[in-house]
Amino acid sequence: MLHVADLVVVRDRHRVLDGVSLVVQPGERVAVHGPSGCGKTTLLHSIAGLVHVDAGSISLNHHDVTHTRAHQRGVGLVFQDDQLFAHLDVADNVSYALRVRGVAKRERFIVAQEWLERVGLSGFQHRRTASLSGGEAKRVALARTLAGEPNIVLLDEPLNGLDDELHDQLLGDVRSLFEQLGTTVVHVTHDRAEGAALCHRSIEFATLSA
Amino acid sequence: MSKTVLHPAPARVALVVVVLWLGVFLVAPVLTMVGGFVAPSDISRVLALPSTWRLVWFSLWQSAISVAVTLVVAAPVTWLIGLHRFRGRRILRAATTVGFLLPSVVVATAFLAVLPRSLHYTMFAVVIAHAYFNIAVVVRVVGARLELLDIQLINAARTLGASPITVWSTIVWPLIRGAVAAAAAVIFLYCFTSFAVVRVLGGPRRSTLESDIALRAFGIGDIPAATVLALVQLVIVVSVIGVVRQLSGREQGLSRLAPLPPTAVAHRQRHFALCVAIATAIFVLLPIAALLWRSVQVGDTLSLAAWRTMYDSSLAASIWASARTALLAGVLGVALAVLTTLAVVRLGAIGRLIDMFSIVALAVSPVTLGLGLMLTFDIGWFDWRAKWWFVALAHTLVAFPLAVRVLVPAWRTTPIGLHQAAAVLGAGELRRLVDVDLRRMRPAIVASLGLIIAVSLGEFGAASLMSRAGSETMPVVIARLLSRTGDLVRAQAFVLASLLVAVCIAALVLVESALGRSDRVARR
Amino acid sequence: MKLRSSLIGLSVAVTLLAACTDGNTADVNITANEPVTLRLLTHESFTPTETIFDDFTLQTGIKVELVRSSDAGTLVTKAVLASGNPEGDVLWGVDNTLLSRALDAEVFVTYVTVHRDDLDVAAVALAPNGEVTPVDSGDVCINYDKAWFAERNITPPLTLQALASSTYRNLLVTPNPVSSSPGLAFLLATIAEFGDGWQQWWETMRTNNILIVESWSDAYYGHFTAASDGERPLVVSYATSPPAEVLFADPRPTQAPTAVAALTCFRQYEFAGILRGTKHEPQAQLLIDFLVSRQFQEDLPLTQFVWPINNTASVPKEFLEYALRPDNPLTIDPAVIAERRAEWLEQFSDIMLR
Repeated sequence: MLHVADLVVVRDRHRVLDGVSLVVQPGERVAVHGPSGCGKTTLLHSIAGLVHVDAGSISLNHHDVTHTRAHQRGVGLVFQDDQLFAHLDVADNVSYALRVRGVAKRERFIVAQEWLERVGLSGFQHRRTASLSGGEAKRVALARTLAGEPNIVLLDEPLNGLDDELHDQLLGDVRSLFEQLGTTVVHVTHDRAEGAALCHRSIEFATLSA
Repeated sequence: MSKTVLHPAPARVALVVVVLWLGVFLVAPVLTMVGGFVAPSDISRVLALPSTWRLVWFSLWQSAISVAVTLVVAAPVTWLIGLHRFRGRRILRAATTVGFLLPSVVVATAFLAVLPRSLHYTMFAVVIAHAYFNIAVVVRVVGARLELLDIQLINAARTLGASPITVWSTIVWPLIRGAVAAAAAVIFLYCFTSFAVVRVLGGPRRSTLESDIALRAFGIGDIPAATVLALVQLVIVVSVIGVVRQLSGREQGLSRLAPLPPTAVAHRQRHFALCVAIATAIFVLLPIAALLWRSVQVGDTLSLAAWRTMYDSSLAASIWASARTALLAGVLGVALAVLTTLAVVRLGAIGRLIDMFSIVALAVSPVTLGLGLMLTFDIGWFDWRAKWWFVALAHTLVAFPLAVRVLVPAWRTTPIGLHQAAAVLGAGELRRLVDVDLRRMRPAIVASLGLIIAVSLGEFGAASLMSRAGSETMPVVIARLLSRTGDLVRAQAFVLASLLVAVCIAALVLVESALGRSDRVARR
Repeated sequence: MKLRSSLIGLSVAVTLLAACTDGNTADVNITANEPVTLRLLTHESFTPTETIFDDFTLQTGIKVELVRSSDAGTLVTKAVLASGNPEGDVLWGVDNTLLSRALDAEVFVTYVTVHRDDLDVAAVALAPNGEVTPVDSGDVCINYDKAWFAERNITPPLTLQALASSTYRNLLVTPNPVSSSPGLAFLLATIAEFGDGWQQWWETMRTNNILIVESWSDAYYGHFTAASDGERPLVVSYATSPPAEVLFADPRPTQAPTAVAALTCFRQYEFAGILRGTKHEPQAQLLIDFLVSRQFQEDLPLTQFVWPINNTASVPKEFLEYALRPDNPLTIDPAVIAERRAEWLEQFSDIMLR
C-alpha cells in the first residue's frame, strides 16, 4: 500500500509538487492523468526515491520511506524511454535486480527466462538491446522491473510512441499480466483511454494537490 | 547517396598536402637522425647498456604511478563536472585546464616554491606535478563521456535495487571504461616524455628516457646515442597507444547524440560537492599564487623592481619572440589540422591511417624533433637555423595533433542533410566545404587555434635547442634566469612566468568559450 | 563574431609584418659606412667591468653586444648545433675540457692573435695553430668552510683520496659534470688522480651521499655553508673563490673564511674563438686581440676571479694575497680528453645519475 501525504518538491524556486497526496490500496491500479510538464514524472521519481523531497511524507506498507535511499525502497519504475542497459544482453537486463541481490548466475538466468515468457518474449535471452524493436524493448523493460518483485510498480507513459496495433496488443498483454500478479500500479499517462483500459480508477493530477 | 554529395576530391588534395608536409618536416628529420647519425653499432652499443633498460623501466613505472594518481585525484572533480549542472561549472572546468596549458618548466618551478624543502627532489613532487598537468585530460575526456551518459540509466539501476557503488561498477564503469582508457593513454604519453618536471623536481639523479636524450645531446654530445634512445621511446609510446586503441573498442550506452543537460547536484551530496570544488580550485591556483608571490620578492623584501625591469629590451624581446612564434604556429597548425581533419573524416580507411599517424606525431618528443630539424635543415639554401620561424615550425608539428583531436569529432557532427540541401541549391564541392563544414566548424577552429597558441607559448624542449640568442622564447629565458644567481634575476624569472601564465589563461578563455559555442552548434 | 574575425585578421597581419621586418640582422651591417656590432657569445660567469668595451668601441668604432647562455656546456652544444650558421661572431668560454667537441664540429675559424708572444706558453700549446685563443686560466678545486670544520674539530680533507673516508659523509656538493664545466673539471681531476680505478672512488662518494646539482652557482650559492643557508661545507669551486669571499664581504675580514685543498686542483684554461660563418671576420679579429690585450686582461682577476693569460698583465695585490696558485695541479692531455670524454661522461652518468 502506498500513502503519499502533502508532498512538496521545489526545484529552481518553483514548486513542482505542491502538497500532493495520494493513497493506493494493495493490488489497486491507479492512473494519473495530466498535461506534460505538470509534474507527473516528478511525482513518480519522488515515490521511487530519485528526487529529494522538501516536505511531506511517503510510506509503503506502513513504513515511512520518505528518507530511505532509492535502492532500498523496493519501488519499481518503468521509464518513459525504457533505459535498457546497452552493454548487457536481454537476460542480464531482466535479471539485474537479482544480480544486485547476489543471486547466483544460473538461478538468475532461469528467473529471467520465466519473466521473458510471461511478457511474450521467449527465446530473447541472448539478444542485444540495440536489436530490439520499440515494442520488444518495452516488454523487456517491464520484465526487468517485475523480476525484482517490487512492492509497487510505477509506469511512466509506458506505451508512448507505439503505433496503434502494437499499442493495443501490448496494452492487453500488460493488463492481463497485472491482473494475474495482483500488482499495485501507479500509471502515469496523458492518454485517458489507456488509463481507463489498464487501471481500476483514474485521477487528474491537478486534484492531487490540496 | 552520401558518396556523391561528399565528393572525396578536396579530401584527396588535402591528404597530399598533409602527407608532403609531414614527410618533409617530420619524417625526414627523424630519418636524417637515424640514417645520418646512427650506425648499427650505435644501436647495439646503446641497447646493450644496462642503464638504458633502467631508464626504460624508470620511465615506465613513474608514468604508471602518475597515471594512477592523476586518475584518483581527478575522479571527484570529474564526477562533479561530468554529471552535474551548477553555477560556476564552466569556470571550474576551465580552472582544471589551466594546469595543462601552463609550460612545464613554469609549473615545476612553482612547485619548488610551494613544496617544503624536504619534498624537493622526490618522486612525490614529480607525481604531484604530473597530476597537476593532467587533471584536465581526465576532466575533459572522461567528463565528456559522462555528459553523454543518460542520467536515467543510473536512476533505472537504483530502482532495481543497486546501491551507489553497485551502480558505478555495473552500469557506469562499463560505459566509461573506454574514455578512461583513452585518458590514461594520453596522460601516460605526457608523463613518459616528461622532461622539465623530472629534471627540476626529481633532481639530477632521476632520469627518464626524455631527459637522458637531452643529457646525451646537450651534455655529452653523443647524438647517435640520443637518437637511439629517441627511437626506443617512440616505439614504446606507439605500442602503448596501439594497445589502448584496441581495447577502447565500441562505444555503447549513447542514447542520444546531443547530451541531456546534467542534473543539479543531489541534495545529500551538496556539501561533498562544495568541498570537491573548493579543493580543486585551491590545488590549481596555489602554484600560480606562488609564482606571483615570488615575482614580488627580491631577496627578502617585497618589491616591484623585477616587474619594472620588464621594459628592459632583452626580456621584452622574449615576450615578442614568444608571441610571434605562437601566432605563426597557431595559423600554420590550424591550417594543417583542418586539412588533416578533412582527410580523416572523408577518406575512410586512409583517413584512419592518417589519424593514427597524427597521433604518432604527438608521440615524437619535442627535443627529438628539434634536434632532427636542426640536423636536417642546415645546408645552403635550406639552412634555416637562423630563421625566426624555425621554432614555430617545430611547434606546428608538436601541437597540430591536439587540434585534430578537437576538430574530428566536431566535423563529424555535420549532418549530411545540410550538404544535400546545399547541393540541391547549386553549391559546388569547394563551396559546400566552406559554407557548410567550415562555417559550422568555426568555433572548433577557434578552439584549436587557442590550443595550439597555448602549447607553443609553453613549449620548452624544442625551443631550448632551436632558439637563437636575442629571439629566445619565454620558457627558455625563464629557465636561463632560474639557473643564474641573484635575487633580482630570480624575481625576473617569476615575473616572466607570471606573464606567461596570464597569456596562457587568455588563450584558454578563448578556447573555452569557443568550445562552448561548438557544443551548441553540434546540438542543432 | 566580429571580434574573432578581426583577431584572426590581426594575427595574420602581425605574422606577415614580422616576416618582412625580420631576417638576419647581420645583413644590415654589410654596408661599409654603417657601424658594426659584434655579438659576443658567452656564459653566465662572464662578468667584466661594464664599461670595458667602451674603450674598444672608441678605438675601433665597433660595438660589442653580449649574449649569455646559462653555462659553458650549453654554450658549446648550441655552437656545435649551429656550426656554420652561428648566433654570434665571437665565442668566449670554451675550456680545455670541452675544446675538442667544438673543434671536431668545426665551430671556429683560425686566427693567430698579434699578442701571441705575450701569452702563457702552456695555454697556447693547447691550440698551437690559432684554432682558438687562450684568454684566462683557473683551477677547479675543493673549497672548504674553515669555520664549520673548526667548530666541530674535524680536519678538512686535503686530498681526493681523503674525501672517500666516512668522516666526510654528507658533506660534499658538486655541480653535474655532464652540464657544468667546473663539474667536468672535477671529474677529470679524479680520473687524473686515480687512473682507471676512478669509478670506484665515485661509487664510494655515492655511498657517502655526495650531492650533485645542476650548476656551479646552484652548488656554491645554494648549498655551500659559507655562501648560503645550505648544509654542505665542502664544495667544488675555484681556487680563486676564497679571495671573492674576502673582497665582496662587508666589512672585509682579514683572513679568508674559506680555503682550498690544493692537492685536489685541476688546471682549467678558457679560450675564445671566431665563429665560422661570421660576416665580420676582420672585426672579430680585432675583438680577439682586445680580449687578450693588457687592458682587458688586467680587468679579469677582480671581476671574474680568473688568472690573466697575458704574462704582461699585472695582478692586483689583494688578489695575490688571498688567491692560491697550485704549483702542480692535476691535468690530462687534451688529446686524451678529446678521445675519451664522452666515454667517461657516459660511465659517470651510469654510476651516479641513473
